[in-house]
Amino acid sequence: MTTQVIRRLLQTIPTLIGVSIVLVLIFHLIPGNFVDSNPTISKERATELKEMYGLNDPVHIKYIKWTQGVLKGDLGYSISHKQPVTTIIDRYVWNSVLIAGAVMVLSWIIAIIVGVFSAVRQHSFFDGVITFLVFAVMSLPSFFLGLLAIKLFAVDMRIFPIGGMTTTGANYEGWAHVWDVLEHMILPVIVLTALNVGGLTRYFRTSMLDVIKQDFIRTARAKGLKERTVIFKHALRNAMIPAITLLGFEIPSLFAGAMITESIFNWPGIGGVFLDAITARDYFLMLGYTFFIAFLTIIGNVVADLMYRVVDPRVRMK
Amino acid sequence: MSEAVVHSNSVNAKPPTKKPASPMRLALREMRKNKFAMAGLIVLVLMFLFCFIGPMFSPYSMDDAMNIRNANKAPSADHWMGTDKVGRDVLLRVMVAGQTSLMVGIVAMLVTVAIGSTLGAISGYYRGWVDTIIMRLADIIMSIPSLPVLIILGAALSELKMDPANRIYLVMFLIGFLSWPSLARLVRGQILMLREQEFMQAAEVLGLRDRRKIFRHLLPNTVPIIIVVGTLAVAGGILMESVLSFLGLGVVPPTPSWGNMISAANSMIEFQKRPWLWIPPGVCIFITVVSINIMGDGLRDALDPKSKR
Repeated sequence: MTTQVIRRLLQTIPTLIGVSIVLVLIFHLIPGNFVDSNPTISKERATELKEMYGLNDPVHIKYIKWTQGVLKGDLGYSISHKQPVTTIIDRYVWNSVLIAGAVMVLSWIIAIIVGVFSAVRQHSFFDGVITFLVFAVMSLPSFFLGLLAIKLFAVDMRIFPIGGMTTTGANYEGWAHVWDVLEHMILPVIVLTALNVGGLTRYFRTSMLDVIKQDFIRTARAKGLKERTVIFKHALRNAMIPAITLLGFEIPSLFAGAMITESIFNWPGIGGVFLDAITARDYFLMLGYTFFIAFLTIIGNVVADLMYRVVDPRVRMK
Repeated sequence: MSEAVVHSNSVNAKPPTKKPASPMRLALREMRKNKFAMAGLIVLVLMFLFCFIGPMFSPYSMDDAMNIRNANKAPSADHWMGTDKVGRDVLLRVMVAGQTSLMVGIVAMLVTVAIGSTLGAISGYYRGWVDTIIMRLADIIMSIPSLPVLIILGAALSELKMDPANRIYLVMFLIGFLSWPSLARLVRGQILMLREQEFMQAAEVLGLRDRRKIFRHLLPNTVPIIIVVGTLAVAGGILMESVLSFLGLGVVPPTPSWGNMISAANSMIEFQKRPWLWIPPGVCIFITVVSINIMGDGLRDALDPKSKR
């Protein structure tokens, strides 16, 4: 197992190098930079700054400098925040994790329950309605759903705050603060859960349908077990096996932050910060964040792979 | 107990069809039985008619002069969806914007299919180092988060002050280009299996060229997968375009698209007081994407022998 883990990790190295080359190349080719787009900087100062941040370097020098930094755990310096990129990511990413974590827990619970029921009653009216709803939520653009939610629940009905993480001006302490944050979380969490839950439900439904048709389920029924035991103990457990690998694929989305939703709800997460970095032409921040997500995606794939080996002996044998 | 009976019924094998029909025709027959998928197809056709034929019935035209006195009117008998801040008819703009959005989705899909199926087929046919290189490339592109990269490239296009008319084509190409790897992988998998079959030995004996073997004998057998992935790619392309245009980085005015019409909601007054500016295009995106997804799913069921009911 250890050798497998090591081999699998070594395999990611060429991909990581490829990703970093492509990203640095993109950032090298795009025109405009922080210094030139800021009219308050004098000409002399501009040349100085460009020299300092290596904006005039040829592409291979840029790449070598950047990679050396990455290997030391340094993703560069964010010019608009005047802080290292890793500090920025560290500061904002946890706000994103807070939302994404809540979304993940909620959507897994809903998806398992709904998926199991619509599989058990395949082709029933309930199943039809669920199937349609699943497609409906999968087809909504995130920003449109977000805007609709704000319009309905925050502007018209005034049930929830419009955006942000805390109420401006109110400096709550202790539980009042927790409650305040929770209240601000509700709408973005609902929107993101809605967007997320469709695919998952579909996944559990299919996986459950595959299991239900197998012989051991018939055996379980023949033994005279209660239908509830058959479904939840025998079928669901087996249907969960492929789903475990999904957890690996969810790693990047847990940390990536929902760019669009965060910026619409003004939530101080890393995704929103990335969008702001674009207007400021803050290249190191953009580059650092994009690489951070690509890195998590690759790691997520490895984790999914390994988990699959752990839970499914048939794969381990190969 | 009754549960068990229902299940044993639903697993019943279908009686084999008597006449050997082509797989495509079988799939069509299967598809026609799926009411959901047919409804999706019909709605989609109606949406196309709405966008491409609809403007001909509109009393207004895209070349109408701006009419500030008529600006910001709520929906009425004259303007069914109201007017925008320079007095243009929103209904007409939604229809014309739909042409752009649908085009972007379709062209992006064509780019994906062209690159994905060709590279996938080459990769699966030649194997060896060609395969390694192409699949590594696919891995790399799949690991790069597409939305951030598209946003960055969109910002670069704005920086270059590109002509909006040409910009659409680049946006289509970029969206399509970033989504070819998953199709390439699927096609490659199929080709790897197909190339070992007997009909390929026959092709070998006939002394056919590689190009002919790949494009005439192998790829046509992967058409079902390409159709399913292609259908869903149109939906993905439309969604991607709408997000980019909403951020002002995709299709930019004066060319209207559903996404950039919704960006009217970025201004607080229009967002709160004039929902007729941004809700109709959003609903259009939703209806289109839903019907494509449902249709794609029906196609998958129809074309994939494993998922037969």
